[in-house]
Amino acid sequence: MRRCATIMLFLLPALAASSLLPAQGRFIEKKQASLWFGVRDITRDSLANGANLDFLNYLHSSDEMAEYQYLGLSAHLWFRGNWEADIKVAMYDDFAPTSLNIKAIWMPRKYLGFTAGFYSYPQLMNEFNMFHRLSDEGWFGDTDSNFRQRRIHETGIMAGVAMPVNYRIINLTLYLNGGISTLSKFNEKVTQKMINGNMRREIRYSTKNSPAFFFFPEAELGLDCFRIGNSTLGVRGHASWFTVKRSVDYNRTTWEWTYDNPMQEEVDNPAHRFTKFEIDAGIYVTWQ
Amino acid sequence: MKIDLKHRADRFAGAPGTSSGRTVRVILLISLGFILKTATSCIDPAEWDHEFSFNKITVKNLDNSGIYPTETDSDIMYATAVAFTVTLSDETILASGVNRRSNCSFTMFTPASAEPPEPRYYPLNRITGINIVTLEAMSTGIPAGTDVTGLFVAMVPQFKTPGFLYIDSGELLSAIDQDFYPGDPSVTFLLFCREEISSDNAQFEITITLSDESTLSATTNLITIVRNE
Repeated sequence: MRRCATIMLFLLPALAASSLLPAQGRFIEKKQASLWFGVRDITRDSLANGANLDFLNYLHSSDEMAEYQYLGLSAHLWFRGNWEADIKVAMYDDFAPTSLNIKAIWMPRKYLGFTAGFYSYPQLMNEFNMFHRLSDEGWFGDTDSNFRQRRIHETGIMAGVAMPVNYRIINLTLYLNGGISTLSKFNEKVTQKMINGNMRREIRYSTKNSPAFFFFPEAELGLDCFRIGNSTLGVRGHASWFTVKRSVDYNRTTWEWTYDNPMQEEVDNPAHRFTKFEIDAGIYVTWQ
Repeated sequence: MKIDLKHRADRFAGAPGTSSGRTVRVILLISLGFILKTATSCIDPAEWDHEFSFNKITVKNLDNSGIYPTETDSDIMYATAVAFTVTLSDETILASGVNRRSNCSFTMFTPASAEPPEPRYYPLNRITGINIVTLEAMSTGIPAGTDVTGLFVAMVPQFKTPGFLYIDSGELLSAIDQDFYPGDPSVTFLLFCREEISSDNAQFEITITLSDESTLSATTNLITIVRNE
Protein backbone atom coordinates (compact mmCIF):
# COMPACT_ATOMS: atom_id res chain seq x y z
CA MET A 1 0.00 0.00 0.00
CA ARG A 2 2.77 2.37 1.00
CA ARG A 3 4.74 1.47 -2.08
CA CYS A 4 1.75 2.30 -4.29
CA ALA A 5 1.29 5.62 -2.50
CA THR A 6 4.95 6.35 -3.00
CA ILE A 7 4.80 5.63 -6.70
CA MET A 8 1.62 7.64 -7.14
CA LEU A 9 3.05 10.60 -5.28
CA PHE A 10 5.95 10.57 -7.65
CA LEU A 11 4.08 9.86 -10.83
CA LEU A 12 1.05 12.13 -10.51
CA PRO A 13 2.94 15.42 -10.30
CA ALA A 14 5.23 14.26 -13.06
CA LEU A 15 2.31 13.36 -15.30
CA ALA A 16 0.48 16.59 -14.46
CA ALA A 17 3.57 18.54 -15.31
CA SER A 18 4.24 16.78 -18.57
CA SER A 19 0.95 17.92 -20.13
CA LEU A 20 1.81 21.56 -19.48
CA LEU A 21 5.27 21.35 -20.93
CA PRO A 22 6.53 22.18 -24.37
CA ALA A 23 7.28 19.20 -26.55
CA GLN A 24 10.93 19.99 -27.12
CA GLY A 25 13.76 19.26 -24.68
CA ARG A 26 14.40 16.41 -22.34
CA PHE A 27 11.80 15.34 -19.83
CA ILE A 28 14.38 15.10 -17.04
CA GLU A 29 16.79 17.98 -17.33
CA LYS A 30 19.06 17.19 -14.38
CA LYS A 31 19.55 14.36 -11.91
CA GLN A 32 21.21 14.08 -8.56
CA ALA A 33 21.97 11.01 -6.45
CA SER A 34 23.23 11.19 -2.88
CA LEU A 35 24.53 8.90 -0.18
CA TRP A 36 24.56 10.05 3.40
CA PHE A 37 24.73 9.02 7.05
CA GLY A 38 22.64 10.64 9.72
CA VAL A 39 21.50 10.62 13.30
CA ARG A 40 18.06 11.11 14.78
CA ASP A 41 17.36 12.54 18.20
CA ILE A 42 13.99 12.07 19.86
CA THR A 43 12.54 14.25 22.59
CA ARG A 44 9.12 13.46 23.97
CA ASP A 45 6.95 14.23 26.93
CA SER A 46 6.98 11.58 29.61
CA LEU A 47 3.80 12.00 31.57
CA ALA A 48 3.21 10.58 35.03
CA ASN A 49 1.55 7.20 35.14
CA GLY A 50 -2.19 7.42 35.47
CA ALA A 51 -4.83 4.77 35.69
CA ASN A 52 -4.22 3.64 32.11
CA LEU A 53 -1.23 2.56 30.11
CA ASP A 54 -0.02 5.43 27.93
CA PHE A 55 2.04 3.94 25.12
CA LEU A 56 3.60 7.27 24.18
CA ASN A 57 5.50 7.22 27.48
CA TYR A 58 7.47 4.31 26.10
CA LEU A 59 8.70 5.67 22.78
CA HIS A 60 12.44 5.14 22.68
CA SER A 61 14.17 8.26 23.91
CA SER A 62 17.34 8.78 25.89
CA ASP A 63 19.59 11.52 27.17
CA GLU A 64 22.09 10.74 24.45
CA MET A 65 22.22 12.92 21.38
CA ALA A 66 21.09 10.29 18.92
CA GLU A 67 18.71 7.44 19.56
CA TYR A 68 18.95 6.25 15.98
CA GLN A 69 21.58 6.21 13.25
CA TYR A 70 20.73 5.64 9.66
CA LEU A 71 22.17 5.35 6.19
CA GLY A 72 20.34 7.14 3.44
CA LEU A 73 20.05 7.40 -0.29
CA SER A 74 18.33 10.14 -2.16
CA ALA A 75 17.52 11.24 -5.66
CA HIS A 76 16.56 14.67 -6.85
CA LEU A 77 15.20 15.11 -10.35
CA TRP A 78 14.68 18.35 -12.23
CA PHE A 79 11.92 18.01 -14.82
CA ARG A 80 10.92 20.32 -17.57
CA GLY A 81 8.55 23.09 -16.60
CA ASN A 82 9.94 23.91 -13.15
CA TRP A 83 8.91 20.63 -11.63
CA GLU A 84 11.21 18.67 -9.33
CA ALA A 85 11.03 15.46 -7.35
CA ASP A 86 12.97 14.74 -4.19
CA ILE A 87 13.10 11.18 -2.90
CA LYS A 88 14.93 10.30 0.30
CA VAL A 89 15.13 6.74 1.62
CA ALA A 90 16.89 5.86 4.86
CA MET A 91 17.49 2.65 6.73
CA TYR A 92 18.64 1.55 10.15
CA ASP A 93 21.18 -1.21 10.65
CA ASP A 94 18.64 -3.76 9.44
CA PHE A 95 19.00 -2.21 5.96
CA ALA A 96 15.24 -2.09 5.53
CA PRO A 97 14.39 1.11 3.63
CA THR A 98 11.68 2.19 6.03
CA SER A 99 12.25 5.94 6.31
CA LEU A 100 10.74 7.78 3.35
CA ASN A 101 10.60 11.45 2.54
CA ILE A 102 9.18 11.97 -0.92
CA LYS A 103 8.26 15.34 -2.33
CA ALA A 104 7.07 16.80 -5.59
CA ILE A 105 8.17 20.38 -5.96
CA TRP A 106 6.77 23.04 -8.27
CA MET A 107 8.94 26.12 -8.69
CA PRO A 108 6.89 28.99 -10.17
CA ARG A 109 9.56 31.45 -8.97
CA LYS A 110 13.30 31.14 -8.86
CA TYR A 111 13.41 31.47 -5.09
CA LEU A 112 10.02 30.05 -4.16
CA GLY A 113 8.33 26.75 -4.77
CA PHE A 114 5.53 24.61 -3.41
CA THR A 115 5.84 21.05 -2.22
CA ALA A 116 3.56 18.12 -1.65
CA GLY A 117 4.71 14.79 -0.40
CA PHE A 118 4.69 11.73 1.76
CA TYR A 119 6.65 11.15 4.95
CA SER A 120 7.17 8.00 6.98
CA TYR A 121 9.71 6.75 9.47
CA PRO A 122 9.83 4.02 12.12
CA GLN A 123 10.67 4.26 15.76
CA LEU A 124 10.79 1.89 18.69
CA MET A 125 8.48 1.51 21.62
CA ASN A 126 10.20 -0.26 24.50
CA GLU A 127 9.05 -1.98 27.68
CA PHE A 128 5.53 -0.62 27.77
CA ASN A 129 4.79 -3.54 30.10
CA MET A 130 6.65 -1.64 32.83
CA PHE A 131 3.41 0.27 33.41
CA HIS A 132 1.77 -2.93 34.62
CA ARG A 133 4.81 -4.14 36.47
CA LEU A 134 4.98 -0.91 38.45
CA SER A 135 1.34 -0.14 38.97
CA ASP A 136 -0.33 -3.52 39.48
CA GLU A 137 0.65 -4.37 43.02
CA GLY A 138 0.08 -7.93 44.12
CA TRP A 139 0.44 -9.17 40.56
CA PHE A 140 3.12 -10.45 38.30
CA GLY A 141 2.54 -7.43 36.06
CA ASP A 142 3.57 -9.18 32.88
CA THR A 143 4.33 -12.88 32.77
CA ASP A 144 6.17 -12.43 29.49
CA SER A 145 9.80 -12.16 30.54
CA ASN A 146 11.04 -11.08 27.12
CA PHE A 147 12.14 -7.54 26.40
CA ARG A 148 8.93 -6.03 25.06
CA GLN A 149 9.67 -3.96 22.02
CA ARG A 150 7.61 -2.87 19.08
CA ARG A 151 8.41 -0.87 15.98
CA ILE A 152 5.81 1.68 15.02
CA HIS A 153 5.67 3.87 11.94
CA GLU A 154 4.69 7.49 11.78
CA THR A 155 3.17 8.08 8.36
CA GLY A 156 1.78 11.26 6.94
CA ILE A 157 1.17 13.50 4.00
CA MET A 158 2.54 17.00 3.85
CA ALA A 159 2.65 20.19 1.85
CA GLY A 160 4.69 23.36 2.12
CA VAL A 161 7.01 25.78 0.50
CA ALA A 162 10.53 25.41 -0.84
CA MET A 163 13.04 28.25 -0.95
CA PRO A 164 16.16 27.39 -2.94
CA VAL A 165 19.22 29.63 -3.08
CA ASN A 166 21.96 28.75 -5.55
CA TYR A 167 25.10 30.83 -5.65
CA ARG A 168 28.19 29.56 -7.44
CA ILE A 169 29.09 26.28 -5.68
CA ILE A 170 26.51 26.69 -2.92
CA ASN A 171 23.08 25.09 -3.22
CA LEU A 172 20.87 25.78 -0.23
CA THR A 173 17.22 24.84 -0.01
CA LEU A 174 14.87 25.48 2.86
CA TYR A 175 11.63 23.55 3.11
CA LEU A 176 8.76 24.45 5.41
CA ASN A 177 6.51 21.41 5.46
CA GLY A 178 3.39 20.74 7.42
CA GLY A 179 0.88 17.98 7.28
CA ILE A 180 -1.11 15.35 9.03
CA SER A 181 0.29 12.04 10.22
CA THR A 182 -0.70 9.04 12.27
CA LEU A 183 1.09 6.33 14.16
CA SER A 184 0.59 2.81 12.88
CA LYS A 185 -2.09 0.93 14.77
CA PHE A 186 -1.07 -2.13 16.73
CA ASN A 187 -2.32 -4.78 19.13
CA GLU A 188 -0.58 -5.78 22.31
CA LYS A 189 -1.26 -8.32 25.01
CA VAL A 190 -0.25 -8.40 28.66
CA THR A 191 -0.82 -11.50 30.75
CA GLN A 192 -0.83 -11.29 34.52
CA LYS A 193 -1.00 -13.60 37.49
CA MET A 194 -1.70 -12.84 41.09
CA ILE A 195 1.27 -13.30 43.40
CA ASN A 196 0.48 -16.14 45.83
CA GLY A 197 -2.86 -16.58 44.14
CA ASN A 198 -4.52 -18.54 41.39
CA MET A 199 -6.14 -15.61 39.62
CA ARG A 200 -4.98 -14.89 36.07
CA ARG A 201 -5.78 -11.94 33.90
CA GLU A 202 -5.20 -11.10 30.26
CA ILE A 203 -5.33 -7.56 28.92
CA ARG A 204 -5.41 -6.85 25.20
CA TYR A 205 -4.86 -3.43 23.73
CA SER A 206 -5.94 -2.38 20.29
CA THR A 207 -4.88 1.15 19.42
CA LYS A 208 -6.87 3.52 17.26
CA ASN A 209 -5.74 5.90 14.55
CA SER A 210 -3.97 8.89 16.02
CA PRO A 211 -4.06 11.64 13.38
CA ALA A 212 -2.31 14.87 14.31
CA PHE A 213 -0.89 17.92 12.56
CA PHE A 214 2.86 18.15 12.34
CA PHE A 215 5.35 20.83 11.37
CA PHE A 216 8.46 19.71 9.58
CA PRO A 217 11.04 22.30 8.42
CA GLU A 218 14.13 21.09 6.58
CA ALA A 219 17.36 22.71 5.42
CA GLU A 220 19.55 21.14 2.77
CA LEU A 221 22.98 22.43 1.81
CA GLY A 222 25.09 21.18 -1.08
CA LEU A 223 28.57 22.30 -2.04
CA ASP A 224 29.82 21.48 -5.52
CA CYS A 225 33.40 20.23 -5.23
CA PHE A 226 34.52 18.71 -8.54
CA ARG A 227 33.27 18.84 -12.06
CA ILE A 228 33.99 15.96 -14.45
CA GLY A 229 32.41 16.47 -17.84
CA ASN A 230 28.70 16.96 -17.29
CA SER A 231 28.86 15.57 -13.76
CA THR A 232 29.40 17.44 -10.54
CA LEU A 233 30.53 15.82 -7.29
CA GLY A 234 29.78 17.52 -4.03
CA VAL A 235 29.18 17.19 -0.33
CA ARG A 236 25.84 17.71 1.29
CA GLY A 237 24.29 18.28 4.67
CA HIS A 238 20.70 18.10 5.70
CA ALA A 239 18.93 18.96 8.94
CA SER A 240 15.29 18.69 9.86
CA TRP A 241 13.02 19.16 12.82
CA PHE A 242 9.69 17.45 13.28
CA THR A 243 7.15 18.28 15.92
CA VAL A 244 3.73 16.87 16.63
CA LYS A 245 1.33 16.68 19.54
CA ARG A 246 -0.84 13.63 19.76
CA SER A 247 -2.35 11.00 21.97
CA VAL A 248 -2.66 7.29 21.40
CA ASP A 249 -6.11 6.04 22.36
CA TYR A 250 -7.12 2.43 22.39
CA ASN A 251 -9.70 -0.22 23.14
CA ARG A 252 -8.83 -2.41 26.07
CA THR A 253 -10.31 -5.84 26.67
CA THR A 254 -9.71 -7.60 29.97
CA TRP A 255 -10.42 -11.21 30.80
CA GLU A 256 -10.16 -12.66 34.29
CA TRP A 257 -9.79 -16.35 35.09
CA THR A 258 -11.25 -17.58 31.78
CA TYR A 259 -11.93 -16.23 28.32
CA ASP A 260 -15.61 -15.75 29.15
CA ASN A 261 -17.18 -12.39 29.95
CA PRO A 262 -14.55 -9.93 28.69
CA MET A 263 -14.65 -6.39 30.01
CA GLN A 264 -14.25 -3.83 27.23
CA GLU A 265 -13.25 -0.21 27.69
CA GLU A 266 -12.34 2.71 25.47
CA VAL A 267 -9.43 4.68 26.82
CA ASP A 268 -8.51 8.23 25.81
CA ASN A 269 -5.03 9.28 26.80
CA PRO A 270 -3.57 12.78 27.20
CA ALA A 271 -1.67 14.31 24.29
CA HIS A 272 2.14 14.28 24.29
CA ARG A 273 4.44 16.71 22.57
CA PHE A 274 6.99 14.92 20.46
CA THR A 275 9.94 16.35 18.57
CA LYS A 276 12.52 14.77 16.34
CA PHE A 277 15.73 16.36 15.14
CA GLU A 278 17.77 14.82 12.35
CA ILE A 279 21.07 15.77 10.86
CA ASP A 280 22.94 13.95 8.14
CA ALA A 281 25.86 14.47 5.82
CA GLY A 282 27.14 12.79 2.71
CA ILE A 283 28.13 13.14 -0.89
CA TYR A 284 26.25 13.67 -4.11
CA VAL A 285 26.73 13.54 -7.79
CA THR A 286 24.74 15.67 -10.20
CA TRP A 287 24.58 15.08 -13.92
CA GLN A 288 22.53 16.15 -16.90
CA MET B 1 38.49 -32.99 -45.09
CA LYS B 2 34.69 -33.33 -45.06
CA ILE B 3 34.94 -37.01 -44.01
CA ASP B 4 37.22 -36.10 -41.10
CA LEU B 5 34.81 -33.46 -39.85
CA LYS B 6 31.84 -35.85 -40.00
CA HIS B 7 33.78 -38.56 -38.19
CA ARG B 8 34.74 -36.16 -35.43
CA ALA B 9 31.17 -34.89 -35.17
CA ASP B 10 29.80 -38.47 -34.77
CA ARG B 11 32.37 -39.19 -32.13
CA PHE B 12 31.44 -36.18 -30.06
CA ALA B 13 27.70 -36.63 -30.59
CA GLY B 14 27.80 -40.31 -29.59
CA ALA B 15 29.67 -39.93 -26.33
CA PRO B 16 27.05 -37.93 -24.43
CA GLY B 17 24.25 -40.23 -25.64
CA THR B 18 25.91 -43.30 -24.14
CA SER B 19 26.70 -41.51 -20.91
CA SER B 20 23.15 -40.20 -20.64
CA GLY B 21 21.63 -43.67 -21.03
CA ARG B 22 23.88 -45.09 -18.34
CA THR B 23 22.98 -42.26 -15.98
CA VAL B 24 19.25 -42.87 -16.48
CA ARG B 25 19.67 -46.59 -15.76
CA VAL B 26 21.64 -45.89 -12.59
CA ILE B 27 19.04 -43.38 -11.40
CA LEU B 28 16.23 -45.87 -12.10
CA LEU B 29 18.06 -48.59 -10.16
CA ILE B 30 18.65 -46.30 -7.17
CA SER B 31 15.03 -45.15 -7.29
CA LEU B 32 13.80 -48.75 -7.32
CA GLY B 33 15.99 -49.53 -4.31
CA PHE B 34 14.73 -46.44 -2.53
CA ILE B 35 11.08 -47.34 -3.16
CA LEU B 36 11.61 -50.90 -1.93
CA LYS B 37 13.42 -49.65 1.13
CA THR B 38 10.68 -47.15 1.87
CA ALA B 39 8.01 -49.81 1.50
CA THR B 40 9.76 -52.22 3.85
CA SER B 41 10.46 -49.45 6.36
CA CYS B 42 6.82 -48.52 6.70
CA ILE B 43 5.22 -49.17 10.04
CA ASP B 44 1.61 -50.13 10.29
CA PRO B 45 -0.05 -47.44 12.44
CA ALA B 46 -2.54 -49.95 13.68
CA GLU B 47 0.32 -51.68 15.49
CA TRP B 48 0.58 -48.57 17.67
CA ASP B 49 -3.05 -48.33 18.72
CA HIS B 50 -3.95 -49.75 22.10
CA GLU B 51 -6.94 -49.95 24.31
CA PHE B 52 -6.89 -49.15 27.99
CA SER B 53 -9.15 -48.43 30.92
CA PHE B 54 -9.05 -45.63 33.44
CA ASN B 55 -8.65 -47.37 36.76
CA LYS B 56 -6.35 -45.14 38.78
CA ILE B 57 -6.59 -41.58 40.03
CA THR B 58 -3.69 -39.66 41.57
CA VAL B 59 -3.87 -36.26 43.21
CA LYS B 60 -0.85 -34.12 44.05
CA ASN B 61 -0.47 -30.66 45.51
CA LEU B 62 0.53 -27.70 43.38
CA ASP B 63 2.50 -24.68 44.44
CA ASN B 64 0.91 -21.86 42.47
CA SER B 65 2.40 -18.94 44.33
CA GLY B 66 4.67 -18.09 41.39
CA ILE B 67 3.83 -17.47 37.76
CA TYR B 68 3.61 -21.12 36.80
CA PRO B 69 2.39 -24.01 38.98
CA THR B 70 4.82 -26.66 40.15
CA GLU B 71 4.20 -29.92 41.95
CA THR B 72 5.04 -29.84 45.63
CA ASP B 73 5.06 -32.24 48.57
CA SER B 74 4.20 -29.43 50.95
CA ASP B 75 0.71 -29.38 52.44
CA ILE B 76 0.79 -25.65 52.99
CA MET B 77 -0.95 -23.36 50.49
CA TYR B 78 -1.94 -19.75 50.30
CA ALA B 79 -5.66 -19.10 50.79
CA THR B 80 -5.97 -17.80 47.22
CA ALA B 81 -3.66 -20.38 45.65
CA VAL B 82 -5.17 -23.77 46.46
CA ALA B 83 -4.38 -26.01 43.51
CA PHE B 84 -3.99 -29.67 42.66
CA THR B 85 -2.93 -31.83 39.79
CA VAL B 86 -5.03 -34.88 38.98
CA THR B 87 -3.93 -37.79 36.83
CA LEU B 88 -6.22 -40.51 35.51
CA SER B 89 -4.42 -43.56 34.17
CA ASP B 90 -4.40 -47.30 33.63
CA GLU B 91 -2.12 -48.93 36.15
CA THR B 92 -2.31 -52.34 34.50
CA ILE B 93 -1.02 -51.51 31.02
CA LEU B 94 2.61 -52.36 30.41
CA ALA B 95 4.84 -50.58 27.96
CA SER B 96 6.55 -53.90 27.21
CA GLY B 97 3.30 -55.08 25.65
CA VAL B 98 3.93 -52.80 22.72
CA ASN B 99 5.03 -54.84 19.73
CA ARG B 100 6.60 -53.36 16.71
CA ARG B 101 6.60 -54.86 13.27
CA SER B 102 9.86 -56.69 12.48
CA ASN B 103 12.81 -54.65 11.34
CA CYS B 104 13.60 -56.68 8.26
CA SER B 105 15.75 -54.67 5.93
CA PHE B 106 15.84 -55.16 2.20
CA THR B 107 18.80 -53.11 1.18
CA MET B 108 22.21 -52.93 2.69
CA PHE B 109 21.75 -49.38 3.94
CA THR B 110 19.49 -48.33 6.73
CA PRO B 111 17.41 -45.18 6.90
CA ALA B 112 19.12 -42.20 8.48
CA SER B 113 16.11 -41.58 10.64
CA ALA B 114 13.03 -43.65 11.29
CA GLU B 115 10.83 -42.57 14.13
CA PRO B 116 7.81 -44.69 14.95
CA PRO B 117 4.47 -42.94 15.14
CA GLU B 118 3.31 -41.89 18.57
CA PRO B 119 1.19 -44.68 20.08
CA ARG B 120 -2.47 -43.90 20.57
CA TYR B 121 -4.42 -45.19 23.53
CA TYR B 122 -8.16 -45.64 23.14
CA PRO B 123 -10.16 -45.61 26.40
CA LEU B 124 -12.65 -48.44 26.99
CA ASN B 125 -14.38 -46.31 29.60
CA ARG B 126 -14.96 -42.65 28.80
CA ILE B 127 -14.92 -39.86 31.35
CA THR B 128 -18.47 -38.65 31.89
CA GLY B 129 -18.35 -36.52 35.02
CA ILE B 130 -16.20 -34.67 37.52
CA ASN B 131 -17.22 -33.69 41.01
CA ILE B 132 -15.30 -31.92 43.70
CA VAL B 133 -16.63 -31.88 47.25
CA THR B 134 -15.04 -29.94 50.07
CA LEU B 135 -14.39 -31.99 53.18
CA GLU B 136 -13.67 -28.90 55.25
CA ALA B 137 -15.68 -25.71 55.50
CA MET B 138 -14.16 -23.24 53.04
CA SER B 139 -16.00 -20.30 54.56
CA THR B 140 -19.13 -19.68 56.56
CA GLY B 141 -21.17 -19.89 53.36
CA ILE B 142 -19.51 -23.06 52.09
CA PRO B 143 -19.72 -25.78 54.72
CA ALA B 144 -18.08 -29.17 54.56
CA GLY B 145 -19.80 -31.56 52.17
CA THR B 146 -20.66 -28.88 49.61
CA ASP B 147 -20.15 -29.63 45.93
CA VAL B 148 -17.60 -26.98 44.91
CA THR B 149 -16.92 -28.15 41.37
CA GLY B 150 -18.00 -24.78 40.00
CA LEU B 151 -15.48 -23.00 42.21
CA PHE B 152 -12.60 -24.60 40.38
CA VAL B 153 -11.03 -23.71 37.04
CA ALA B 154 -8.62 -25.95 35.20
CA MET B 155 -5.76 -26.35 32.77
CA VAL B 156 -5.10 -29.43 30.67
CA PRO B 157 -1.44 -29.23 29.65
CA GLN B 158 -1.54 -32.18 27.27
CA PHE B 159 -4.23 -30.74 25.07
CA LYS B 160 -4.85 -27.52 23.29
CA THR B 161 -5.80 -24.76 25.69
CA PRO B 162 -7.16 -21.40 24.63
CA GLY B 163 -4.21 -19.39 25.88
CA PHE B 164 -2.88 -18.06 29.13
CA LEU B 165 -6.12 -18.30 31.08
CA TYR B 166 -7.98 -21.26 32.54
CA ILE B 167 -10.98 -23.17 31.36
CA ASP B 168 -13.95 -23.45 33.69
CA SER B 169 -15.05 -26.73 35.20
CA GLY B 170 -17.85 -27.04 32.63
CA GLU B 171 -15.33 -27.09 29.79
CA LEU B 172 -12.97 -29.42 31.62
CA LEU B 173 -14.97 -32.54 30.86
CA SER B 174 -14.87 -32.02 27.09
CA ALA B 175 -11.17 -31.22 27.31
CA ILE B 176 -10.16 -34.42 29.06
CA ASP B 177 -12.66 -36.83 27.50
CA GLN B 178 -10.87 -37.69 24.27
CA ASP B 179 -11.39 -40.37 21.65
CA PHE B 180 -7.79 -41.39 22.17
CA TYR B 181 -4.81 -40.23 24.21
CA PRO B 182 -1.52 -39.86 22.35
CA GLY B 183 1.69 -41.00 23.98
CA ASP B 184 0.41 -42.26 27.32
CA PRO B 185 -2.64 -44.12 28.60
CA SER B 186 -3.39 -41.26 30.95
CA VAL B 187 -4.66 -37.73 31.20
CA THR B 188 -3.55 -35.04 33.62
CA PHE B 189 -5.34 -31.85 34.51
CA LEU B 190 -4.70 -29.07 36.97
CA LEU B 191 -7.40 -27.71 39.26
CA PHE B 192 -7.29 -24.21 40.74
CA CYS B 193 -9.70 -22.94 43.34
CA ARG B 194 -11.19 -19.52 42.50
CA GLU B 195 -12.44 -18.96 46.01
CA GLU B 196 -10.30 -17.52 48.77
CA ILE B 197 -10.50 -20.02 51.60
CA SER B 198 -11.17 -18.33 54.89
CA SER B 199 -10.77 -21.38 57.15
CA ASP B 200 -7.45 -22.72 58.35
CA ASN B 201 -7.62 -26.05 56.53
CA ALA B 202 -8.85 -27.35 53.25
CA GLN B 203 -9.43 -30.82 51.90
CA PHE B 204 -11.32 -32.01 48.86
CA GLU B 205 -12.62 -35.24 47.45
CA ILE B 206 -12.40 -35.48 43.67
CA THR B 207 -14.66 -38.01 41.98
CA ILE B 208 -14.50 -39.00 38.34
CA THR B 209 -17.47 -40.79 36.83
CA LEU B 210 -16.80 -43.12 33.91
CA SER B 211 -19.03 -44.40 31.12
CA ASP B 212 -19.09 -47.93 32.58
CA GLU B 213 -20.77 -46.37 35.65
CA SER B 214 -17.70 -46.89 37.77
CA THR B 215 -16.15 -44.01 39.69
CA LEU B 216 -12.63 -43.09 40.66
CA SER B 217 -12.18 -41.03 43.81
CA ALA B 218 -9.23 -39.43 45.48
CA THR B 219 -8.92 -37.27 48.54
CA THR B 220 -6.40 -34.51 48.74
CA ASN B 221 -4.10 -34.17 51.68
CA LEU B 222 -5.30 -31.96 54.48
CA ILE B 223 -4.03 -28.55 53.42
CA THR B 224 -2.93 -25.94 55.91
CA ILE B 225 -3.99 -22.51 54.72
CA VAL B 226 -1.75 -19.48 55.10
CA ARG B 227 -2.53 -15.90 54.12
CA ASN B 228 -0.67 -13.11 52.44
CA GLU B 229 0.79 -10.71 54.96
